[in-house]
Amino acid sequence: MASNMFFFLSAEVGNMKREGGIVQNADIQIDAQIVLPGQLITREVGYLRGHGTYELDGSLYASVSGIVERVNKLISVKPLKAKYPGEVGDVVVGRITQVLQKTWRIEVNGRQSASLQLSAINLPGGAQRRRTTADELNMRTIFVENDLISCEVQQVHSDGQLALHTRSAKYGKLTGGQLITVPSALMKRVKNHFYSFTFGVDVILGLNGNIWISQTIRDDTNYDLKDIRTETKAEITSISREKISRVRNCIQALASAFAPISPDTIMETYEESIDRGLSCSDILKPDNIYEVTQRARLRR
Amino acid sequence: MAARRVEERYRSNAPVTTVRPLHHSFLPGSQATNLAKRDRKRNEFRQFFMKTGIIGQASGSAYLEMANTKIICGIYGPRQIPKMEFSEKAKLQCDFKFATFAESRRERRKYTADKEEKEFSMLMVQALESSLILEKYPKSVIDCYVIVLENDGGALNGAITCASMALANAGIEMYDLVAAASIGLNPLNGEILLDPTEAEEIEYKKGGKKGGGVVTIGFMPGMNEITQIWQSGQIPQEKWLL
Repeated sequence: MASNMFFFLSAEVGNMKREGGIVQNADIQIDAQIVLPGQLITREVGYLRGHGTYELDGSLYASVSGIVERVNKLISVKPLKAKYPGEVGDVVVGRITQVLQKTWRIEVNGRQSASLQLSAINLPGGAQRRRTTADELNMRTIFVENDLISCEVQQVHSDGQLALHTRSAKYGKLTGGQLITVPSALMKRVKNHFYSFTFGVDVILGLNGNIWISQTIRDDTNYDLKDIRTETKAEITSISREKISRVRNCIQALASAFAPISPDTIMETYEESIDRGLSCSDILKPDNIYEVTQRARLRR
Repeated sequence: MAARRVEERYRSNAPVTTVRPLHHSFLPGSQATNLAKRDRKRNEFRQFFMKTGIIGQASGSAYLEMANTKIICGIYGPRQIPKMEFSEKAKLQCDFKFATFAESRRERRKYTADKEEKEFSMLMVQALESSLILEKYPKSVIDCYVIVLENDGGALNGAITCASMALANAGIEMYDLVAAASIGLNPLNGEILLDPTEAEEIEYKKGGKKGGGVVTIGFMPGMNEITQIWQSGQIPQEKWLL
């Protein structure tokens, strides 16, 4: 449990180290302070102004509705509902909205749309790209409109536009699974956003709030040669389907309880739902949401 | 029938006059539609009901009810400006609309925006723009759609309050929420009334010896700042000093 806790807090600890302070006790707020825009957070001086706050006459006010988070001297407000801001290196799950000249336009629930350059993908079979017009015309053989893909943020432009890339075998088109969208503020930065649960379900935790759930595929294919267009051919058994639905409902329960979403919290919720003998659909009844997310909510 | 406008010929038109469900007459505040039967004090609001997040596909939404006045608002954005023009700030676009069936005491509203709706759209932008931190969203546009489902006075102030709630619900950064209210000046006795109904609004705007009209104010309670004042009718100077 203790190691899990550290794992969970690693993102915040990283921030503090950058400020040059020594982390002695990570300050976790268990009971949340909920604020509205324009509401006073503190009159005391000496606090650092974080996201979702603004300063006026030396006092700190909230600029979004959400939960106040304090990490030592830094105060920020985590919005209940906001667009995904984007950060370099984030794993995101997005949907292709347009096929343009040399780029795909991708919806990732950001302020501005994201783009995936033709030059920022690994071509099928690891082929080298010949910069020809024929190549551009073949773009639809790789990704077409409405395809779901997993990718990584390569660059964040000053106006908030995101440049994405799929230059790794683990990224690419997603098939044979289920998508669930949650508020992006709930997504926790963890070591591995491609997580394989022991009970045979894989999740891709996109930091933009899109989560892809599928069954674990054991493949021994050479990843260097793996085709990004690979479609899952394996049959999904009804047992797998139920597990996928259970994971989906657990994530939905976490989102409705405004609890952080990470492999740990999903696992806890999943186990709790089984311990309580709840069926898949029962997880989302209000009373049960409260029960199954009890442990996860403590991690807020 | 022949004189009907082109755009309306292609739509299914409900009857011009509507009959309210019976239970409405038992609701508090419904009697206030009649001028003579104001059932609350001069400085009293009608009863409020507010709810956020009622439109699933919008970025943010809100619903507001002040007795018979019912308003719904949806926020879409901040999203990319369709044309790739550059602007350092986000642009707030408001679209205020009365539903065709919104008015019980007058003719059906048209589907297209009339003069009043265009003016209210503009006034809403004025009232809300200064509450938002628009610099945070360069090259973006925030669309705000307001529909008045039923109008019984206070449509503009209700729309501003409702839109501000929806903007907060959308997670858009703002300095403060905007609350708006309207007051009416009775031309007959020079009395000032809070939150007039539609019947009162119409009566007051006609004016008389002692002036008469309606004033709507947008206010940020936390910052103690007024974002907008709008006056309709004639209000003598000394009344402003009250």
